[in-house]
Amino acid sequence: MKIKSIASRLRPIAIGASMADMALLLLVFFMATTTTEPPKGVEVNLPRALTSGAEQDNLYITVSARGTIYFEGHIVSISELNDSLANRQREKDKTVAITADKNLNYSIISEMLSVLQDQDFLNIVFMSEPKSSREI
Amino acid sequence: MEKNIITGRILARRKNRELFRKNDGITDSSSMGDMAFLLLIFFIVTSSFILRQGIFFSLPSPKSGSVKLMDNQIIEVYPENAGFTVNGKNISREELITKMHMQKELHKDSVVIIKMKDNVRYERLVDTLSAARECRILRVSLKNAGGGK
Repeated sequence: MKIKSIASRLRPIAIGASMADMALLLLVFFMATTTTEPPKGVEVNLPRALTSGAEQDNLYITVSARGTIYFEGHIVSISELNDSLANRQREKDKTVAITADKNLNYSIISEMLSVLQDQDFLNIVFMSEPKSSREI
Repeated sequence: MEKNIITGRILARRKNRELFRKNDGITDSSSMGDMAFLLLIFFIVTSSFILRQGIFFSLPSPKSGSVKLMDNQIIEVYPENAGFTVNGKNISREELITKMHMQKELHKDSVVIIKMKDNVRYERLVDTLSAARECRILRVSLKNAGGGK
């Protein structure tokens, strides 16, 4: 009888502090793992290849199927790309991510590579879609 | 007069009690939790788990010198819009992979020289680089088929 009376006096309490802790932990996780979309400028069809993960901290060059070059999301000509890279000599250790359309002629890529080489941006990554294990 | 002093004291006590209640050392964390949940929802909605993938390639420095290679170390590939040309023969991707595997077995430090023509699609370059990676050939040189760099 006594136990029953004590139990009846107890009220269900929801402790919100642990919920807030969990939310903060998840928040930190999402903040650490979120990747921001790179400045592309245009949508392109990527070629497929056996790939490896690319770094996040890159310089981005996108080339459309028509040969329009976008540097960090802005349209540039080859000479303007050369000037832009010359102005960013401090970042020459960064990897340059080339996101080019798969149907693009190599001549444009060749011109771009020689500009990158002249400006001493030697680490590049050809962005591509990963092949499935069946395709390899 | 005495009445006024008593009421004054009572009011002062009430004020002290209110002040004490305000600073009793307990902070309300519910607003903090709300903020955390709001930010959490924002990050869940905006985050993308798509990993950017690609093929890494290091260009030679303009200051770098030339490297001597033996003939049996090299496999020269001309990517075409359909297939590949190796030693003047047009071959398929599977045949190229077989050739590269054989080359790798012959010489551990094999080098693939990709000679790209201007009118060939960029996709073919990436495919050739991918083929070299599949055969674990790490040394790849890229040249223009018409000469130059």
